[in-house]
Amino acid sequence: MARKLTFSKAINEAMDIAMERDNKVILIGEDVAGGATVDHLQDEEAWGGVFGVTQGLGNKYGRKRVIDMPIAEAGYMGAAVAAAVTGLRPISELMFNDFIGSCLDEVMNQGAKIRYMFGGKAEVPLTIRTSHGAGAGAAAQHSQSLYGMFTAIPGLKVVVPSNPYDAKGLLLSAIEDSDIVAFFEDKTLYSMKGEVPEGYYTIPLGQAEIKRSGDDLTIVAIGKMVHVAEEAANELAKQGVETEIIDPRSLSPLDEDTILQSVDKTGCLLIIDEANPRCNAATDISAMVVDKGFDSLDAPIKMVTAPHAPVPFARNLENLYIPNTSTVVQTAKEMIGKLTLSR
Amino acid sequence: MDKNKAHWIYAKMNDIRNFENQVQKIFSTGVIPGFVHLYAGEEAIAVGVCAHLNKDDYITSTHRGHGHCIAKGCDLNGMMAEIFGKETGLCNGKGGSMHIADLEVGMLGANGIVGGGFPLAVGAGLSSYVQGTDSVSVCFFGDGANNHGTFHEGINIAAALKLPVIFVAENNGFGEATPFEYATSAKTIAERAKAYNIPGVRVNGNDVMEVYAATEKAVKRAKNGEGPTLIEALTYRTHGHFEGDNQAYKSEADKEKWPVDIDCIKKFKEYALQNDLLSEEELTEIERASEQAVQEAVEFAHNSKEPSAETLTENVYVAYRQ
Amino acid sequence: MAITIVMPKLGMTMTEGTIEEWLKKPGDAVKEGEGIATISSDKLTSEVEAPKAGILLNITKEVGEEVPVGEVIGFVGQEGEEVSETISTLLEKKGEKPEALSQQAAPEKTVDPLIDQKQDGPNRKRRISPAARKKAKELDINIATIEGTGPKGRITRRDVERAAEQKEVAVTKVQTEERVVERPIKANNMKGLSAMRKSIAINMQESLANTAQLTLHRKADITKLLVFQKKLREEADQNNIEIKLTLTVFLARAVTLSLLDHPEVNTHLIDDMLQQYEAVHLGIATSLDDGLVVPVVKHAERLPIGSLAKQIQEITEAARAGENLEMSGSTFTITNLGAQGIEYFTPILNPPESGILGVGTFMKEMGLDEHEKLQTMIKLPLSLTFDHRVLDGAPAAVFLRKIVYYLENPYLLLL
Repeated sequence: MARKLTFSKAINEAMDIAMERDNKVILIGEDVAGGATVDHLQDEEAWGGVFGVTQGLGNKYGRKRVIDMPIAEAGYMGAAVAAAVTGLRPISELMFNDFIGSCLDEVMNQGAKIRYMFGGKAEVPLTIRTSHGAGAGAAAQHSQSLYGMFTAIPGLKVVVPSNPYDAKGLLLSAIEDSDIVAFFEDKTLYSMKGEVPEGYYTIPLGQAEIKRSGDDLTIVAIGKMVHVAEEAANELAKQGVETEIIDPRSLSPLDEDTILQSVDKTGCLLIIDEANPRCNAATDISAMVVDKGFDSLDAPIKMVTAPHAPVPFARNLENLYIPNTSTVVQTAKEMIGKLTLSR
Repeated sequence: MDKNKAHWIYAKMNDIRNFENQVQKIFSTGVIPGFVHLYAGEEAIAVGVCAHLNKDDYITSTHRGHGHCIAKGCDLNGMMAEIFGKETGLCNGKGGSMHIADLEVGMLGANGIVGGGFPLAVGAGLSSYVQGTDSVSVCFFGDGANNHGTFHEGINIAAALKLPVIFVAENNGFGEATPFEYATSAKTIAERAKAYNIPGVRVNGNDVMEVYAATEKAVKRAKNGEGPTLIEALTYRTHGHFEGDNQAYKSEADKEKWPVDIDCIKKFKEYALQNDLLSEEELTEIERASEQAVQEAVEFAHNSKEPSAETLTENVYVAYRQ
Repeated sequence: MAITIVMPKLGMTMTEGTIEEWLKKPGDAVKEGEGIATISSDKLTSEVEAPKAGILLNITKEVGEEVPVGEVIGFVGQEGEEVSETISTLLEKKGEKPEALSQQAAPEKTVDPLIDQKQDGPNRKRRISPAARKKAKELDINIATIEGTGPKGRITRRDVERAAEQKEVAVTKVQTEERVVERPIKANNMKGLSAMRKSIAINMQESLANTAQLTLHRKADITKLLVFQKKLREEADQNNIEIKLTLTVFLARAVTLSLLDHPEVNTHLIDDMLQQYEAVHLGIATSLDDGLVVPVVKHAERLPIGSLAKQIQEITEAARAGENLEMSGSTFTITNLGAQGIEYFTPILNPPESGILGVGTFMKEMGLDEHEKLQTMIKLPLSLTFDHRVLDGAPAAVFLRKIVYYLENPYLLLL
């Protein structure tokens, strides 16, 4: 029986392995060790990040490689960029992806462009780990899903894992990658358990996974939405609709072929993205399929996303905000012809 | 200080303490969504500063904002309902603990972004300066934020333009779990004022009278068009960064330095009695009334409805043609 | 206002038709939908119906005339109406060519596949998904014939696939893959022949004129086959399987298997190009009262005996009922004169095929079995005509022997 780990622990293990394999890998961010310079503090009691994801790493690798940063995102994110250019392989934690507001210049104008602007003579092997997603009652400034915004910027790679196994393998790939990779962790998945092999393995960036096979409908779901897709697929199966679920795993690069092949088989594409509906990963994938797979389409592409509004605080509103199974099922049924539904 | 002011100060400090104690209790039952950052123990700062402000003055706040809201005059019922995520909340349940705001009383919002308040307070000061009104704006911020870029950018703009802004650092020793001394290269926050050519003072943040006195000067200076002041109020965060924090990073030495008996409310009570500002009966009555008001706020919040589904997409814009 | 009556298009390939008979004379009153003329095409006859009620004003084509599809053959209008006037007014008004006009009034409406007649408004575009459009093109399915089951009646890819499947089941109503040769031959003395007769005449004459035909004869011992047939029939009856297991079915199966073994016979020779097919499309010559047609079982190689039986029954019945079947595309033909008591004959190739099997009537014979014992046997005479340009005698004989082998070992037919 394979070992089960939480999403959070799987990510921790990936960083541990990466740091052990390569001493150029460092971890910086706000309270990534936690309680720096507090004499009495036992490292196992230290925070290890506000979600505890980096727990134990400070103890193991020392405060020279696991460095707490002042609350100064622009400062340390910019520093991470140049540290990467000058020989390190940093993992820089942005506690909430919403805080990109405080360091967008460093990521977008510096990090993402350096290699290109320098005529290909620089590498920026930086991994930005950040949390995203609604569902924790964290309200408008701590709950967004901004991977679409990152995907739009040339020079950044974007990874959104949906389960512990992928999180570990993708994070190791991200750390080893010689470009900036923004690694998005849904904060409501941290406690999710799943099988995770021990030791080192990687999952290449730009390789989607077909989570479930079906002939009638393709659902591309991002991050946590994969689980919504799976629930919806179970429901649809009861009604005779066989769903194929694709987890792109990385949005940049995007595994276009797997998506196009699936759509060619099913003719119907539904994309679930927790982000706001304009200019997000779903619209991006949709545009790609219309462009490259128009003749495969049997129905207009549908997207189930959050509404065009900030994340609300009230629990009932937040639940409405996040794409849910019944909306997906309903939308799927509206897309599909009577012939399929009547089977 | 007159009797009325003393009454107001004691009442507000009690309101904050009672309010936070109730929030802590209720949060542990799971009724309140998300997370809360409590202000209890730091009441002297918010109350000492706001004692000089009126409705036309503005404040900006932090994620630890309940105390600032109460001191600035936000309705307890509306606040509690907001923290519960109810439609009767000050923000109709859309904002929650970290985003309580009430423009009616000059409260520009608690804030989820560390350092988010500096430019906003500068903006309120700019508005007052351009419009020629008499109002001042106050930026409350934590010691963690004094390392954020917006601290420097905001103070510099206010100082350069001589805007009526007061920057109030609440140095409670920790930015989240990180000690102040680790994250800040300067010895004090106050001395950073020198770099911007404005007054920087350090006061005992547990003594409401010290905060009160420093603010008085700062307000006068702001209203005279002489520009901003930086006040650093030393205090101690008796709660965790958020509720549920194990606080293993706190040392015994810290706890000794900030014993419970230097509690700011107790301290002011003694001061008021010694100076014949308030009698034992008056103090007791204030305490009782405060407890009752907070209790009523809890009931109000409990009894309020959740926001209706259609409000999910309301108020994204003033107008939006679709 | 006068309306034109045009030569209708019957089926997919008809390009012209012959007026067989005018059922109405000029001046006769006609009802809408009433037959006013009989026309015939290649192998079918049909009635032309009045496009609307009125008076048959004029007839522009006489009996026996060959008329291209869509061309005007007469006019229907009100009493006293002058045809020439109405035409010219129509032309002025619409600014269109007469041809376009006549097509407008064709009894069989030429439907723009993209205009969905059921939708509100005449110009409502028919909803069809990109995938369905592509699939329809691939399978050569007329979009206008498909009913959409998607939201708002959109035609989906599945709708197209289903339409294609149904067509397969109905057997070759449309011919899609194989090349059809149309080599016009000027035949003499054909006046007065019906269109079907004319078509047969042209084909047969062309066949004999352009190929090198040779016929081989051989008998097959079908004693075991008849026992086998009887047994299968009983089994089918007991299990309420309604299929007609005629001898033709077993012959068709034996021929199909033999063609798979000898693909060199499953060929078309077209313009000196020999085309060898993997698919076996079997023509089943079917006699009608007034002629002969050869409906086709497509992909016989894919059909087990039961399905083969069903399809043979379906297409032959449909052909006898005069249904508008596609008659081309076969790769080999079977023709049977057994019912008429014929033993051997020399069937004529159905061009561009390379072979045709003639089946005679079976009869009892005395013969020696494998143990040299005298037995009553039932023998079936077979005549294989082949194109000597494609095959020599020996391989043709091997092929015929293979057919015999299958018939004499009937259990192999189930494999």
